[in-house]
Amino acid sequence: MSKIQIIIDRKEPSNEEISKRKNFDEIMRKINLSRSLLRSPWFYGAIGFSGILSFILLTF
Amino acid sequence: MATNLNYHQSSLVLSEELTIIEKAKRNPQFFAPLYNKYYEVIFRYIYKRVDEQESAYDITSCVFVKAMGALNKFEFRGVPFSSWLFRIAKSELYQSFRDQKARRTINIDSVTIVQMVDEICDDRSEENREKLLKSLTLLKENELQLIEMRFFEKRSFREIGEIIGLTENNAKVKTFRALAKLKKKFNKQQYE
Repeated sequence: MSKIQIIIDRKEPSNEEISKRKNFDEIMRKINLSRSLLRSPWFYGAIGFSGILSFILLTF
Repeated sequence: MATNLNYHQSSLVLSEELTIIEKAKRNPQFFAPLYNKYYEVIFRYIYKRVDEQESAYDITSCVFVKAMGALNKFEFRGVPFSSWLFRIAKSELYQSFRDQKARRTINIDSVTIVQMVDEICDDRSEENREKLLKSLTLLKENELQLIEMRFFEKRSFREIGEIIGLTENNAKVKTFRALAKLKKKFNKQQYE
């Protein structure tokens, strides 16, 4: 498979088509999801646990 | 050469954008006007560089999630907010190519092909058009990017510079170097 593909005269989607795909609520949902994950004690707990586990595995 | 008039904005518009950004840093809901304003230009920038329309929508969505997540790091430098979004779009595009979620694509129209052939030689033959397309695929990514932005998308050197983080003059110099490289690749094929 060639690395770069060339498309000539491809039809551009109309402004209306593109507008229909706008979904700010979906973006907000993803932002809130990542923020709630960062605020979750489980997130830091999992990082801490894997850190300790890696330390033990590397040391012994 | 026509320039992208939507890109160049008055200082009043820039300061209005800055106010929205400052509000959005405190509450992401305030980002909505910027999302609505720039969604289409970012989508079209991505669409021109990927093979599938759905991938372009997915990457566009990732760009805005990334932008909103990193908004606190945004520093106003007197240029349109879109230049920051374009930089994120560029990095998201490369990530998609690396992850093989999208394929690097050059979207070009027949008129631009003829204009580009005219830049390189006097003969608009089918053979030369083919050679031009082949030469484009032989360029390095950063060179191709400059050619795309200047000759396919008709962006000003100022805008190109702001998108790729160069001065206007540097963007101009690098674009002409990329064009010279394209000509070299094209001519090399003449003798192969």
